[in-house]
Amino acid sequence: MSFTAPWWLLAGAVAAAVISALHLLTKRDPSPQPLPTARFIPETPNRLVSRSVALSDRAVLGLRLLAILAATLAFAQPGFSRARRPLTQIILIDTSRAADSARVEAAVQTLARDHDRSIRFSSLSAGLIAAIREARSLRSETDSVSLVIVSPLARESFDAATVAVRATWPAGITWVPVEPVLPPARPRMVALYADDDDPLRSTLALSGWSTSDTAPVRLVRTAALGAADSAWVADAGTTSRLLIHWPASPAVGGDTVGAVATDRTVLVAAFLRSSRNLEGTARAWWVDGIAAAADQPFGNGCIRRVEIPIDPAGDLALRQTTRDLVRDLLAPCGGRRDAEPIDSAAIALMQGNTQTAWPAANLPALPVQERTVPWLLGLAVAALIAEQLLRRRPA
Amino acid sequence: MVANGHAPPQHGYGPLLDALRGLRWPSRARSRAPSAGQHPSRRRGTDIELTEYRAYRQGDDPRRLDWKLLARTDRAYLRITDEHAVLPTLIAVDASASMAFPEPGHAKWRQAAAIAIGLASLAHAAGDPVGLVVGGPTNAQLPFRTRRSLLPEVIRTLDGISPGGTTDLGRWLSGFPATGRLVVISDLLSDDSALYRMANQWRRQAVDLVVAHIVATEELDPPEAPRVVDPEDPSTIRTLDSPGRSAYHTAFAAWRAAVATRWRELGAQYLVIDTSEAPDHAVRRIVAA
Repeated sequence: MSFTAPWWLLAGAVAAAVISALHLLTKRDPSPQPLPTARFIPETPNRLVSRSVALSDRAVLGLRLLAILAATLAFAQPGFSRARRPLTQIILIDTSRAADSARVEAAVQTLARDHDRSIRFSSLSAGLIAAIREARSLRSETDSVSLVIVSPLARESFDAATVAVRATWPAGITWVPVEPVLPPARPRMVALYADDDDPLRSTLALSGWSTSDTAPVRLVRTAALGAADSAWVADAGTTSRLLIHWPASPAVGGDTVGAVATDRTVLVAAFLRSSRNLEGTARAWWVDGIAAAADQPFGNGCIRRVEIPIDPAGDLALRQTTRDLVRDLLAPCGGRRDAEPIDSAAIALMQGNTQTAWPAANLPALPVQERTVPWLLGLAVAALIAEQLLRRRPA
Repeated sequence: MVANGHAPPQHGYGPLLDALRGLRWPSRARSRAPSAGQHPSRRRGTDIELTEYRAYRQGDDPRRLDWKLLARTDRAYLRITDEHAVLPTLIAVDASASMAFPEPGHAKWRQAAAIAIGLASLAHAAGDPVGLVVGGPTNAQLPFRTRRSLLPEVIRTLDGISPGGTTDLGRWLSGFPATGRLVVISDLLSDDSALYRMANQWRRQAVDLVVAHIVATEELDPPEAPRVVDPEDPSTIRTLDSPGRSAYHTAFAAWRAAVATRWRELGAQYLVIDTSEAPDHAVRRIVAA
């Protein structure tokens, strides 16, 4: 058995010694003996006390010592050591859509050993955080920990926090590359159902999008979707279809807002926002965080509802940021795909130095305590309660 | 006062009652009771035994005229004889906390209970109605009775009591008629002003008053103790050291003398009974006084 904070044991021993000494040295008033004629004794100051050199109130002392012992053991955080392994691998398994699951599993099979830990991730940042936490929990089980990433490391696995999270792991990371699953090439074609003077026609034309009724993306600018539209999405077969319902005249009645943004584009303009709430996965947001466009799965594809009014007057539809916004909103279901591998500099940053195994003891301990700690604290509290009851017991 | 807290003597009260068998307890006062009994009555009646003659006065009962004397002497005289009546006897026993001394054994209470039972047996044997009142935190009392089961009831009542708390015997006595004989068995350590006032009222009505003052041997000569407490007043805590004992002996003796004087001035038959005295001996002293 080992202790995380062994100095508490010394403090507990000192406290126990002090309490035992107090029980030895305490002076007590002797218990009075009944005498019905006590009133005939002249009243004098009562200076008689008995000085006891023997242990007094042994039961109370025992309960106090038990409470101190249990509390100090709890504060010292005992740990029951198991057989330590020299090295434990934590394998981060990429389960994102950029990774081919069969190839990933095959790579993992060749890597994994007994007692290795595996963590599945679709976001690399989240996976790294879970892996580092897992490594800290292995302090008492292994001498060293190494992280292994089985992933194509596509760009879409990265986010703004990935580099910062990676920096919290002091050692290198072994990367086992697997072939990425590249998304099928999507032609810049859209089936547009809109009036001839719809401003989005100009936007799409300026962005290089052509219109075709056979395109996997249908943009409907009417006030409501029809049954044919829903059937078109549901009848997608193996191809993921995207039905965008972007009314040319959204229901107004809300308020005015100054900007709308996607994950890549911010369009600043005065928009008369509708008060209708959108359900599903947000793809665009008003400047105050309310969803301006959201996806809802439907069949093998999805229906994307967009509540961003494009004023036909003025140059809003012609702006570059408007074109970028439309491009983002025409991205396939599930968001923009970027399965291209990260560049070599980013890979080098991920792999870090050459020391891939890091001593587990050098990792900060998790605040999670052993299971014995709450029991010991409970025992200490129970002993203190029993001590109180014993002291209040009538003599 | 707690029930079942006092253990009766190991051999019961049989030896005590045997020791008192045949003993008579004469009254110091004439009884006012109407029923015939063994004690001299305040009434003049038609008893066989002649006491005196008295000249007839108008209004006297002519049936009490000595007709033979009238015939011989032509003088009208009444034949006066003594009446004998029962003497209702009320026994009041103090069951306050001070009677539960010393611990263990409660010798004061056992002595008081034995004396009460002994006196009740004597009064009952003479055909006198006997009542019992036990004053403690709660009151236990038996009304005046002469029936055969009286003595077992008295014993059962006293054995079922363990002294405790404080008492006011005077208040409990107010529920009984002032007649015959009143026996107070107490250590007189509780506030006895009400008792004294009630006894004074009874005494004015010619009630024979007996006060048995129970004192424990340990009270007469207590050993030194670092702290002693009055069981009826926990705030009275004293140190009984050597100088304290000397002052205690003086003060306690003076108090006993004052108490004896006060009760005797009231006309009571006052006796101090030590817990070391045999109960039958104490009863004989009361009867013979």
